[in-house]
Amino acid sequence: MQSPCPSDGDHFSDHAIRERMFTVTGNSFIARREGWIAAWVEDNLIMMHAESSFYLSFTGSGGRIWELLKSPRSVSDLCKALGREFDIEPEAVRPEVLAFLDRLLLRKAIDVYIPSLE
Amino acid sequence: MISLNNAPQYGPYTLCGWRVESAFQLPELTAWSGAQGWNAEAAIRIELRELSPDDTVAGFCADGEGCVSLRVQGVAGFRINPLADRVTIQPEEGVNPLLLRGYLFGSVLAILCYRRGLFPLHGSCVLLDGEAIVFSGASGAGKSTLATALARRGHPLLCDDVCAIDLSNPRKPMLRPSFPRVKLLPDAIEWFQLGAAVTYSPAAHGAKGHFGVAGVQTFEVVQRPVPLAAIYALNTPAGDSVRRSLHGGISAFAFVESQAHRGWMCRNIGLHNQLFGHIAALAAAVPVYRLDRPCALDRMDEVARFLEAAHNAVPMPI
Repeated sequence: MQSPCPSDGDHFSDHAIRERMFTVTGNSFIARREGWIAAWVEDNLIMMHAESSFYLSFTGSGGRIWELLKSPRSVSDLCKALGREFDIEPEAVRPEVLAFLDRLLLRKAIDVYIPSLE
Repeated sequence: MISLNNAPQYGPYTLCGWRVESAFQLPELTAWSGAQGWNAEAAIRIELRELSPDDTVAGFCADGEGCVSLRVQGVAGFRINPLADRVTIQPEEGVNPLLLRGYLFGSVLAILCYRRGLFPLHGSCVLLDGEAIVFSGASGAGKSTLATALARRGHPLLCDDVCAIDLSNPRKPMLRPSFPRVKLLPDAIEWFQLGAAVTYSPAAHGAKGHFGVAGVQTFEVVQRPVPLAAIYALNTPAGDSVRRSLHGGISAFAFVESQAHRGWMCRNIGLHNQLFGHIAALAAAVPVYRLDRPCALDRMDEVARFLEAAHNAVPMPI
């Protein structure tokens, strides 16, 4: 039996995917969509979708979340990592993280999955 | 009169650090000198010959093999090969050579920059205290006029329209000068008393009225890469005083992005990532200021003095 939850930083493998989701929940796994490039300009993370030349820009923890998504990971892992960095409880950052991921999903910058339980 | 022939017989010239040989005269450019500290890069050959009908589709066209074609009605067809070391031109009969060179040193130069890994920023550039400052903004914002005002105070003019920026070290962008000539409207030509230094040409599509191209001589003609110290965003002049304010990160990025010379052509030839990386690096490494200033020509010296003070520069002998 496979572990449903990759550990912090593990790559997200195809066999862990059960279903692609259209909303973000606490159980979701998150993966960046291909085609986005990003760069920091001062404290702004600026992202561009290469094909459409659509731009996004984030400040503060938004940019850090995108960096942490370099490897696909669960929302729980994401909250734990941010909690450690900002020295707060993972549960305290979860609402903000979910809201931010919803924005990324709306702009087609990420894919959201739930893991296989088999 | 420009006629078709194949052999580049003029030059070699220097353009943005590249060695250029041309089938017709390029009087704007200075002679090539190999001892200028440039990296060894392939020379560019500019040829005059007939293009195939496929290469002369109206407007801009990038083919699957990496060739870029540009056809400007009433002027010429241009074709740049994938290595960007050959420009083939088929001029239309009776074209004004100045107009032809205007496109060569505008859109074609921008494509050469993108293909050769440089970032072409739309603007005019002068040397102040050993560093380059660029005036950038929409057509008619006063870039060339302000650069000329500084050049008339002895600060060498580095380029006009296309400012080629080398970001091979992203933390230290370097400006690669082209040639010290500017496009100006008649009132500015008269104000700066450039009379004998001006060649007139009909502007393409009437975009800038009847403009003149003026050589603006200073004590030094700079043909070496110089560090880029600042970008000034020029809007339609407003207000009565001169002041500058710093654009923040995203605002600086958005401005530089808006002034990438023919940035859409760069995207069309598949260099999105290079373009994005260059814009981000430039916005991060070089301060982008909004410059507010009065618009009257008789106030230009006041603006020039403000910029000299801001960059610790003093007027130089011409």
